[in-house]
Amino acid sequence: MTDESTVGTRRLDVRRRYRRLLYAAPLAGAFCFAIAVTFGYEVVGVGLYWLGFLVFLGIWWRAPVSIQDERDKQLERRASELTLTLVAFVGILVWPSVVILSETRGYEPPPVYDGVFLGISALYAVFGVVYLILRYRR
Amino acid sequence: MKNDLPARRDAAGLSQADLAAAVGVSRQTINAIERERYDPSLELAFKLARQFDCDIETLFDPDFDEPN
Repeated sequence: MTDESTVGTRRLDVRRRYRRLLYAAPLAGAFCFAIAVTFGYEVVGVGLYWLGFLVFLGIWWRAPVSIQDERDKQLERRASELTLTLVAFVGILVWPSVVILSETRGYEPPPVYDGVFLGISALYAVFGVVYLILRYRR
Repeated sequence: MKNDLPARRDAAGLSQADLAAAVGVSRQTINAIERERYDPSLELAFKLARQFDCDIETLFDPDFDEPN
């Protein structure tokens, strides 16, 4: 192998290592949270949980190589797009159905229903704001 | 997008991992391009073309529909 490809291989190894750390950190935080809560140390558990996410953010911002390559980014974009489409589909179909059922059959949706649709609405509001920021930023 | 990548890579005696390392993407990305499941960015297409010392048009065939 040439020097250039050796450097490239090393870069991919570094990316792989940081990527593993990136995903392991929040998982380890969640695991530590569960263990700490089991033994009655809730505050310590929450601290460890947040520590996991701080490590995640630290790796994300400060890693010496890009954590994702262009195909990873494209996969993430497509997954996000599909998720938003599925959520919209649920909103479009389920919300009017529940309104009709409650008007015609006296169906009372469970309390969680309002929370779910508030969450969906908030998700789309955030999407709209982010979209506009990206569209109009210089 | 149709491409000549597997043949050129074999001719150069490179594995997918070697080529991936040379252009700075994962082996899976090279595999996806070769199987025509992923279209590379312009930047990556240029890097691949440079790697094989050819033009992008030689390496990739966009297979555009002919205009009427």
